[in-house]
Amino acid sequence: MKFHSYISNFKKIKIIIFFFISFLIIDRSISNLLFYFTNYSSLPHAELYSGNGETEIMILGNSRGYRSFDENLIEKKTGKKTKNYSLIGSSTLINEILINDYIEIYKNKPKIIIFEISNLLSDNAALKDLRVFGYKSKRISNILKNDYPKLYYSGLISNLFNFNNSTFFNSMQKIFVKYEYKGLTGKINKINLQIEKKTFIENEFSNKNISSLKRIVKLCNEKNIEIILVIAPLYYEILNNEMNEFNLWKKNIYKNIENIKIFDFSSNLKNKELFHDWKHININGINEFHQIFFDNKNISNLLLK
Amino acid sequence: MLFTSFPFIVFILTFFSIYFYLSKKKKIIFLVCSSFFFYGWWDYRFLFLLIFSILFDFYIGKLINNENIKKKKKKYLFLSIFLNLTVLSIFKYLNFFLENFYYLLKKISITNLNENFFNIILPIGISFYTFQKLSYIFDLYKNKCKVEKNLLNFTCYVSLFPQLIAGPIVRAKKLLPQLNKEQKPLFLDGLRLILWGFFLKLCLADTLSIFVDPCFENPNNFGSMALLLGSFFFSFQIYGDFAGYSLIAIGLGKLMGFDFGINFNSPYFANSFRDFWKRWHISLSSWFKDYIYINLGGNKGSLIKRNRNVILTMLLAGLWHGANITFIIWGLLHAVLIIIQNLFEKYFYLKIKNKFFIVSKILIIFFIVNFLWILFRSNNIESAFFYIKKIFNSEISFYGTQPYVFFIYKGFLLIFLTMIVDYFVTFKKIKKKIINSKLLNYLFLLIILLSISIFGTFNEVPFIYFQF
Repeated sequence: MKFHSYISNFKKIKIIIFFFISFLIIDRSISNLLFYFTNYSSLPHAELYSGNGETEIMILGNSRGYRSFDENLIEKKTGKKTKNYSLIGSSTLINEILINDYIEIYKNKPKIIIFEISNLLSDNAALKDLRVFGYKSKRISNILKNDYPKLYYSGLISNLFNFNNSTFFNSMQKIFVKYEYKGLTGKINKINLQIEKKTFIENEFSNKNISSLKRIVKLCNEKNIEIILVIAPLYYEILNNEMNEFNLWKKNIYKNIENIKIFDFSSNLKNKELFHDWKHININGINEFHQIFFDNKNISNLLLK
Repeated sequence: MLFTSFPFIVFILTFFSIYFYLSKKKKIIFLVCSSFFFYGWWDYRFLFLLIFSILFDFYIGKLINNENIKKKKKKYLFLSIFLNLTVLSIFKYLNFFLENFYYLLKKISITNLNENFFNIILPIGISFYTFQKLSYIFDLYKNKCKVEKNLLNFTCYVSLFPQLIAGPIVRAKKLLPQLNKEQKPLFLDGLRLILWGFFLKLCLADTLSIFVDPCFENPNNFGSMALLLGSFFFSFQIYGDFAGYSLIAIGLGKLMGFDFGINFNSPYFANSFRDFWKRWHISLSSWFKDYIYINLGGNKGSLIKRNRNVILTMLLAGLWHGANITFIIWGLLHAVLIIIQNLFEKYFYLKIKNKFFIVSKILIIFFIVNFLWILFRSNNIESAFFYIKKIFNSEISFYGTQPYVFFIYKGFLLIFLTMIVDYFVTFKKIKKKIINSKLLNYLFLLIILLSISIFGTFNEVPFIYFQF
């Protein structure tokens, strides 16, 4: 009887071990295959990490960076290859990773970086979306390990878990459908000033992001990269509501980053029709903003140099 | 302790690593202690309410069993119903009545009372365990089940942790005999159900909630088509959420060797409203059918009486979900639809077996059920009407969907996958093939595990039915 139960338990353990080995093998095989597929994607971040994303002008920032700059318009105007590598919700630290990874992968540098600085107020949550490139970037996996250990270790158990994010699914779609920059459509809705939370208030990530921006500026100086720090347009009705906070926030940046100008376009667009919501301009807004952007002599000198 | 949270994983691993090594009697003691710990994790104060209600119905059960005079039996039955429903009403409905009463007084300028003068917290799972206990008392009264003489077994029956918080509502005659015998754990069956439950919750429901929640919280920020999509997604969110919870609970039961029955049977493939209620939250709808509808007379008597029975049953079923006009109207509308369909089938019934006709019927039922979910999901009746008005009155637009495009595509993909599985389970009897083949079982487990890994949303979203 005892011998029989011993055999039966041994069989069960064998099945469990076999099951987990099968799981690990299939998980790793599919993950490698999926990662290989990203090499054929036209999504900007997939191109960056697959070695197909070389560019002369690099646009960085969070959603405001992404929604405010049309890479095609800038490329047309300057004649220089332009890529918008802004990542929705990303912090300055994440953008710093993108610059460093770019330089490491291409053994080259972009000539100009247009950097929208609203990401100084963002946390590193967007890193969750970049996990898929943790395969190629030690910088991504190190910060992930530090800031999101649960995600990092879950990704070690099941590599497929690293593919569980919008960037990966987007990059799969962009294998079949060519990536094209698209601005936001629709115009701003009713605004209720009472329920809008204030944005330009220092938070727990501000210091880390400021340090990161300092490093970016230093790197650009060392590598002879022109960096243009920009604040993209904001809808004035809300901006006015927190003008004091906004000015304090800007003052704090100037205090920390010396000898570099910030091109502030925050109050340049007044028309409600040009905004998708109060932080993001729509397609019409992009056209208008680009005109103002290139009308700035300092900027056009840098870009057309 | 959510089934999808880290503390629960620790809890369940510890539980099973001890449970399998215990003797039958010790297993029951351990189950009761674990269930109390599980329940007390939320709010230990309500543990006393649970214990008190268990003790009360245990002794009432004994009194009913020992009594030979029918009148006295009835008295005990009513005492149990009265106490159970009073406790339930105090915690679940008193706020609602007081608020409305206060509103009325305010309207006629009688009071200046503070609106928050009475704020009662709803003990989690109270609707489920109250109905479970009542089914025991009803069945005992009608001699449909045997009295449970062992307090420990009865406590275990009411408080068994997998189904304590959100069902399924298991009848005493089904579960109590299982507690009295040593049960053989069904590992593969259990794991298969648990993993499919996790898929429904983590992949389907929690992904859809990312788009559904903002739609219902602030419909003003969305165009008409976006809101329509929001309601369509909610139909699958609530299905994934609740069917997922039920499957995890049933699967955990199987691992312990218990059979709780099924709670969902591909409800969106229903071809009539009656059929929908035979497939949706089966343990609750059969409870209402057996203890309310049939006791009212069921489908016997005149047309008016029969329809009255349907209306009353569905009205109570709506009210069971919570003290809100939206639930009452939702229940009422379902009743009206059942009545209309009954009449239609009686007078105009065409025995068409054409596949196109059947598919059209399934789609029509789905779209109406989907539309009624708007009432169920809205916080109040004004929000529900505003949502519906915005769908029909504003110009056709997908405004507001842009930030959610990824989740919308992912949502459609997951709905498609879920419906494929549901279709094969319902119509192709694939379930039997999987159950009978160990290899297919392991393959299914592997596929689901990998799918959860790549599609899961791990935001620890609470289960919708916890609020009921």
